Amino acid sequence: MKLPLKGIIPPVITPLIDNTTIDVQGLENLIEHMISGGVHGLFILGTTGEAPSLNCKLRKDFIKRTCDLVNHKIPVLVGITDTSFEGSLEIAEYSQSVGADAVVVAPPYYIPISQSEMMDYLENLIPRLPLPLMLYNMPSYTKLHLAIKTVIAAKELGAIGIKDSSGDMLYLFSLIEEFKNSPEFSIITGTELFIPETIMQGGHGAIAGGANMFPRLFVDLYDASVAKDFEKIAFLRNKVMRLYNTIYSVGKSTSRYLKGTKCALAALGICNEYVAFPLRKFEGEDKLKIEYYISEMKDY
Amino acid sequence: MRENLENLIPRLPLPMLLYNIPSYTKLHMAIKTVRTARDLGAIGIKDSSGDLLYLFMLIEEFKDATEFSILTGTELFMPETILQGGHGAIGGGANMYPRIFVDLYNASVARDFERITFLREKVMRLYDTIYSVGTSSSRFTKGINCALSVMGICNDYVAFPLRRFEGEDKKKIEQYILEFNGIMN
Repeated sequence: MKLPLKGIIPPVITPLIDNTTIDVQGLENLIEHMISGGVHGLFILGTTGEAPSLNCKLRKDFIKRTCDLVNHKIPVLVGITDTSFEGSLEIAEYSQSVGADAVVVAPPYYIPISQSEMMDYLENLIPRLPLPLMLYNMPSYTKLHLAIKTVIAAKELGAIGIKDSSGDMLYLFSLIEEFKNSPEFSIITGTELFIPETIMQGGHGAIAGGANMFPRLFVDLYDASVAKDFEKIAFLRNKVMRLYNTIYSVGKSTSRYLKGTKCALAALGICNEYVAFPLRKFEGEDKLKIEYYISEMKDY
Repeated sequence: MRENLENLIPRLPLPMLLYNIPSYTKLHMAIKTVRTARDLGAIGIKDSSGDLLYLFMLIEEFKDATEFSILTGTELFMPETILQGGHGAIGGGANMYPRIFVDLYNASVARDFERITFLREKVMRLYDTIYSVGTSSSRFTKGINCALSVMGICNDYVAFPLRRFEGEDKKKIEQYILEFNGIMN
């Protein structure tokens, strides 16, 4: 795997038929759709992949199928975040055995921990991992906003980058500034609207959920940002804004972004829209709205 | 959460107790969520919010549901819980000193206020010592594990992502346990 990781790395949704069954055909369609859309890597079993809602057996099955389908065309990153230390190691070892390229870890998310406890956790975890690790900052879900000094500690232990989903652009810029002399350490935004700012400031890419639906749009936005083509950036970002105002804005649940994305993928004929417990898929009016929005996005 | 319970409870092979611990789960369960759980068959709730007003609201809400247990997860609130009509406590300190907590429960049921005051001072002493070493939000768990090992009951290992007390922290716990000999048991 070439470092630094860069470009558009979609957080892959997990196509499901029910809580314990993968939508196998849907997964094949989805991966083909994203690879042909030009994405630079895949991140499976993250927040968008609903990993904490899925049992270990299903997650392993999903890792194996994804790695087989991707067949090393692009890097596959696997989320190993778990409340159990051994649970994370088990998924990391399995990922390595079926050909994944890297693992991604956010803080163990049940017990509230401090920065120094997180550093201690990484000191113990990273040397035992069979694959390179990318750090994942997701404070609204994990309750811990990783301090820059924690990220520095992770990098010194061998981490290859950080995905930041804090939504805090000042923090993202602080990361870019801090690691500007570490050209192999990737700063990846988890906020797809920040792609141009991230890239132009010296960051490396985006884990953009919208690329499940419209991979080409995000790859184009990345390319325009690298080329500093401001006219094209403005044009493409308007399209991304339209996603925020439509697909991501149905209902008021915190997870409407995920439900909307899965529902849209079903409307696009790519995969099933089932969402694992504790969430539920859109039905009725909500579903009709998404179908209408998708019908209006023919030019995407 | 209500929808999740609607799906979960009917599939459980055993009766279920609800658990409110917002500082860990990020969700402070609304009274109406607890009511839904009870309607679905939950047998009670453990409240670890640390919010005494909420605990009293639960007791008020379910005062006519005599088989639905209101348990506090805050051991210091045991007398208030029982005197107000609640049913018990899930008190971590009872790992170390079960008798103190059982006595405090009995004194609360008997409304023996003098004894309640006497016993609660002992519980306060645990808060000021065993539960107050270091600044980590899990010092309560680490302190209890460490104390149990000092008492010769079990090992003090704490699973990742936490670490057990060592060095100065462990010495403090040892000193406290020594002081408690004859006081706590």
